[in-house]
Amino acid sequence: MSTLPTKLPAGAPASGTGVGLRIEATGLVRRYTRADGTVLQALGPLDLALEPGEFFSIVGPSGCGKSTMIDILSGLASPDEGSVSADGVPYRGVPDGVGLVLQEDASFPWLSVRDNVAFGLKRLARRPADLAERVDHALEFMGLADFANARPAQLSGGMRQRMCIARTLVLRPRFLLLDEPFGALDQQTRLLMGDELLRIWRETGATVLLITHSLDEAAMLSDRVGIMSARPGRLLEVLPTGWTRERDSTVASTPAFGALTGHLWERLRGESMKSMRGGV
Amino acid sequence: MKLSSSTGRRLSLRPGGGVAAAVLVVVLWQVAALALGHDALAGPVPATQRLFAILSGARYRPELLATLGSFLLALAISWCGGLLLAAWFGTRRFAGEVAEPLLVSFYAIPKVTLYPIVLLICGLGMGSKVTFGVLHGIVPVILVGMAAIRNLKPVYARTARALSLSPRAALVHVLLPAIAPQLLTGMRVGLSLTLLGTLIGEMFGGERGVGHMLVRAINLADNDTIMALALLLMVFAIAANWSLGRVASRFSGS
Amino acid sequence: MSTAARTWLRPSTVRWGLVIAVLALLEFACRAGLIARITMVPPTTMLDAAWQVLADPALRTSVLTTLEEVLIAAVLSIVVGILAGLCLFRLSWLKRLADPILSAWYAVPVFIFYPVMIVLFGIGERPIIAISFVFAVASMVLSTVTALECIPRALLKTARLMRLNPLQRFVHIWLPAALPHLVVGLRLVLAYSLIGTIAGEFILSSIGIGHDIAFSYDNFMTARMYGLIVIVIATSFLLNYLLSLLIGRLGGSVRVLKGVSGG
Repeated sequence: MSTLPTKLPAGAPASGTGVGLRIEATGLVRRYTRADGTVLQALGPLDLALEPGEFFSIVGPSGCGKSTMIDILSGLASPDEGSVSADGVPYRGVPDGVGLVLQEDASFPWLSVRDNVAFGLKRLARRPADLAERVDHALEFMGLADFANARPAQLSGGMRQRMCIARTLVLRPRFLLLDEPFGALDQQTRLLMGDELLRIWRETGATVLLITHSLDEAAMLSDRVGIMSARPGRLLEVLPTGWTRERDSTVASTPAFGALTGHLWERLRGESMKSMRGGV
Repeated sequence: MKLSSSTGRRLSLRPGGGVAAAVLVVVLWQVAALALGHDALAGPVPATQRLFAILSGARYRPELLATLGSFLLALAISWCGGLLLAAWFGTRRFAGEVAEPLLVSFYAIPKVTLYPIVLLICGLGMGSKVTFGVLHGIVPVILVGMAAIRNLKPVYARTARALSLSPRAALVHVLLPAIAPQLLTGMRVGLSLTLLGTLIGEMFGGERGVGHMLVRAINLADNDTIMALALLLMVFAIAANWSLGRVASRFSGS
Repeated sequence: MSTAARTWLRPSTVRWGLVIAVLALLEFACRAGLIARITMVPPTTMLDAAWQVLADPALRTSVLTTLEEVLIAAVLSIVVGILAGLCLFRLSWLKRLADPILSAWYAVPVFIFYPVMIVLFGIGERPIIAISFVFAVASMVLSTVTALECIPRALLKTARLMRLNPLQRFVHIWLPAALPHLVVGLRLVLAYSLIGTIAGEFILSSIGIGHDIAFSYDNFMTARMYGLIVIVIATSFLLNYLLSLLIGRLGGSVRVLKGVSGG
């Protein structure tokens, strides 16, 4: 059973900023058929509601269907049951204004960094007149201006990921999904990237949904944290964090942070063990 | 790779795929034989009958044994020589770097053109057949073996040391099994090419052997024998390859 | 090893050194009579003979015939191979059926089908091109399937996220991502086409360089035989080298090697 929030946490942006999408998912279910014919329920029933412009993280054990959920919310996949809507309008397929940053390296090795970032813009039906400026701004914003003409193969993993984020940002998403984007990075880089992400969130005003297996990351970055159960994944609980909009990774030193992560793990531990025994 | 949807593709791991393919090939063969007529192409039935006659009779036994003998000898040299050289080049980085482009270039040369040279040097007979087989088969064994050794993940050696294994134990129980699948791949290619080389050698050598039988059958327009021998070689080659593949799977755990 | 020694003792230097040393040794052995002239001629004579071959119009025609056969076989293999590879990639049932056949393809000595080809195509260029094609096409099919399967799913997802239409996906994602592997297939096709053609000419002994080599051998024209062999080897090296350059420019270090499945 999921718990829907009744009150926005303090510090959340006032509704009506217009940029961030309100995302609602009801009764999402997804099943797979295995080679031997048995049906596996990977997800659901899942209900989720994201306020416009909020930063929402989801933590859950491995195999709980987080990535499936991301696929459905981004429109890359369709649910077997249930629906998703943006600002009240249901969608199937990738809607306008959605951006997704993947965990795997999605850089195009045959293009330079600049061409990578410009890629999405160039393929639009109508090329924006300020294409070059937007690309330059995104490169600067992500600290890649000096590497604009390099190839992705010459960059470190973290920089490649920043480039992929830049490529997504340049399209001005109103709903930004991130599927364990910093999974391949070391802890310190992760913390820095977390601060980057908050900066991006504040500047763009987009609704952000972050999937992560790091409880610390979820606790320090988000307005609310959702806990997913083991497979089939459902939303067990949603915790507001109460941080202000101007937060950064230093919230980790507050006692409230410890309480929050403690509670998250308490809730999550059983699910993780279930998932581990289940051999996922 | 994740399964993609509830109605999505099922990953099939049934071994029946090989049988289905074999049936398909036989069917196509029969159709082609019917379309082209017996004067052009013998069908599966006459070919199989002729093959049984060849195998069961005593008349062709010396020829079959000659081929088998030359092939096995060439194979032994290709494999053993190849693996030893692979070990040598694989563990010595400089030597490996010097040798690899040479071997790769040699691999790409149409070795048939070297055949007259081999004949001139070795004369007619088994020597040239075996040499030719080795020339064909040894290079992939070396190249793949070298690559396998060079790409061996350091973690295996470290694990062996962490478990306090002696060098010999480490080699036998950890390192060799780790590179076995790749070595076997090279050996499979080596086997196919050695067979090819030995056969081509026989086709020119004028000596006894399956290749020679094939040339004689071509000259006599003996289609049944041609296809019978083709069938024999195909079955033999596929069976040998398949067995090596099974051994390789045992080591890679798939 | 000191740095100074290391810089000039590079693998390529050693390699060239070895090759030249062996050639020099052969040159000496041949000229000194240690190797009978009927067995081998000195390398310098080989080069001279090769030159003479290229100067002789009749032999030049042979060379061109062979090259033409190689090219036709290669182009056919590439086109059919890519199309077949695409089909196999798309239709998984077809791929399941074809997998065992493709694995066994290079296990079977392809020359056993020469008689069939002669019957089908008569004598002359065609059976040779046919066998060459059969030999080479499988490597293109395998390379194409590998190329398509190796495209990271992340790239395909990105294409869909950016809402590219199918044509855009093909031109901007599939093609550039698959190119490095496809070029490896090209290399194999060229090598196999050359091998299949020369071997075919040799065995069928009708036209082309292969036939000329066989003819020279049968008639004890040792120098000319070696000259022709040198030309074949040089062509093989040249093609290999050109393709290496192409691979280097397109995708970097993609290992060459066998066209057997999984290779």
